Formats: sequence, C-alpha cells, structure tokens
Amino acid sequence: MLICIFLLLIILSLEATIGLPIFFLYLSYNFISRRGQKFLLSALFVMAFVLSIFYSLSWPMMAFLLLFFHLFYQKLVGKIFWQFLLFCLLNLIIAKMANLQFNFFYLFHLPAFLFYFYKVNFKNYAA
Amino acid sequence: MLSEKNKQYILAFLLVFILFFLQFLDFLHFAFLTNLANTWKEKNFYFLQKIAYPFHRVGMMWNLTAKLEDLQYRYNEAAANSIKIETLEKENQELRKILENSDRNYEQTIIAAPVISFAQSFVAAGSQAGVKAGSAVLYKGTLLGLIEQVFEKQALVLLLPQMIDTGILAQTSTEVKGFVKGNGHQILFTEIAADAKIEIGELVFTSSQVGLEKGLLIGRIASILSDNQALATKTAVVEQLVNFYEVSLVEIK
Repeated sequence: MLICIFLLLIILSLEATIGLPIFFLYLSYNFISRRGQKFLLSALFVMAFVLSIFYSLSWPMMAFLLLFFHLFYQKLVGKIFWQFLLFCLLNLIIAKMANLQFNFFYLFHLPAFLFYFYKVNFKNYAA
Repeated sequence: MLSEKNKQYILAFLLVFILFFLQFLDFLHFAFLTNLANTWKEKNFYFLQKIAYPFHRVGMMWNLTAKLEDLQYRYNEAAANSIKIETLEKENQELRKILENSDRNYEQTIIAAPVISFAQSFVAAGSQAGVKAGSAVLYKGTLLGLIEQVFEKQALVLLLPQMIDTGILAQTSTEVKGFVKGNGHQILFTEIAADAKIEIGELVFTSSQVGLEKGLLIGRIASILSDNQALATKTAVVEQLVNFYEVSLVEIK
C-alpha cells in the first residue's frame, strides 16, 4: 500500500508538471474505492489535499469537488460512458481552476490515458 | 432515521464546511508544502524538456515552410533596399567628385541628372529649380555645353559639338587664343593665329567672356586640321575628357 501511495505521488508530481491529474485521480480513486466506504471518505480528503498542494488550489474546494464527484460516481455504477463523462468534467473543472494550458505533452498524456481506460474497462468485454 | 452511509456523507460535508471556514479565517497555510511541490515540479519540467526535445524539434518543422516564405519575402525586400542604397551611394560618390577640390562661390549651382530623349540632351531640372538659359553645364570642372532652352521641369542642353552657330572664347594653357565651336559631331578650336604654336595633348580652357566663367576645361587638342601656311588661321579638333552621355550627374551654373 505504501508503495502504491509513493507511486501515486510520483504520478501526481509528473502530471502537475505537464497538466491534468487524470492518471492520479483515476488510479487513486480506484485504489481507495476498493478499500471500503469507511476508509474512502477520509482518503478523498487526503487526495484533495495533495491535489491542492500540487495545483496550488484551495483544499476545501477540492474536497468539495471530490465529494460531489464521488457521490455521483456511486450513482452511475455500471454506466461506464457516464462515469467517464463525469471524470472528464472533474478534470476540466480542475484545469479551469488551476488555469492549466494546453501543451505539447498532452499529445502523449491524453492518448495514453484513453488507451489505459480502454484496456481497463473494455478489453475484457471484447474478449 | 439516516443510514450509516448518509451519516458519513453529512459528516464529510460538515468537515468541508469547517475547512472553508478555516480558509476564510486564513488558518489554512501550506506555503512550505506548495513551495516544495513547485521545486519538485521544476525539476520534473527540466527532465521532461530533455526527453521531449527531439519531438519538439520535429514539431517545429511544421513551421519551417512559413518561416522560409517569410525569410524569402524579407530577402527580396532587403535586395530592393540594397539596390536603392547602391544607387544612392553612386549618386553620393558623383556628388563628392563634383564638390571635391572645387572652389565654391556664392553663385547658385544646380545639380541634375542628364536625360537623353529623342537624341536630344536634357537635364532633369528646369525653371522650377532656377535654371536659366545660357548657364554652363559642367562635370567636375569640364564644360559640356550651355543651357539652350528652359522648360518647367527640364532644360535643353546645347552640347559643345552642336554649337554650330555660336561659340565660346577659349585659350590653351600656353595662352594661345581661339574660338571653340562645333561642327555637329566634333569640337573645333578655330580662329587660332597661324603662327601660334599649339601641340597635340594641350588643354583648352574657357577664356574671359560675358556670361561664362574663365578657366573651365573644355578638353585637349586631339589633332590640328588646317596646317596650311597660306591661311591666316588654323583649326584644331578638341577631344573632351568627359562624355555627357556617360555621366550620371551634372552641375549647372
């Protein structure tokens, strides 16, 4: 678990350098959602905290956003398309709040995430 | 009653509210951690820049065509300017030659470019510039002709070889006096006393007369035509050192 947290921090530091925290959000959310409800809400606060540190944002605002995201995400279980849309919306809000700008690295960053998302959610169905 | 799950959500939102309140009271300070994260991000950025440099170069190649076109346009513009500068430089050199080693007086001097039109010789300055009929047309102190007719923006020049009906009093460097006129294609130094000694290569200058400065160079004696002792006078052909049709600027005074 500690290794996972350390790896997630490295991912966040890299993503904070180049733009959207898509991998960090997706991986960490999946990681903590497996740990059960009791642990999940407090973990969301920690996620919000590290995001606010790396993106120079407000901690309460990030916590508020993540809580809302979590609430709606739970309601959309099994609807991958809507979950993905919600996830995109969260990222866009973060991008707007952190005043992120499009750069060269996005050409690798976004396709890599899309490929990962496809592999995790759809490849098993296809098989 | 509220379920355990809902209780947790309410608690979480309450916590968020408390955090907002603390932020409002300015108790949430993470400057140290933010600076640490920014330093880390800076290091990451340099590292990523190094990795992405070759891709960045490839990306820049898309702009090369536009850059090349821009450069080509700028080059053409520079070439056009260069030609302009060359022309100005040439003109400047000519002006220097005219002004150098010349005793300037207070008389009005006009500098103009020769214009050749329908085998007639003009200068690109007329009554507007103050050119008067009878003024001398010079190049570096050499008399080329006289202004015959003045128009508004140009003036007709009567070159020395074309002075068939008129003439100029002239003398050589050895004080041999005569009369310079033209025969249509040559300059003749006529009315020279038969016993006067003139030699080929001798320089001919203007002599004192009304409306023309003394000492202006006309040319040098190229050949002596009338060497017949029976005649009272003799004639020599004068060769000019400067050609009106070849100079780019002349002086009118």
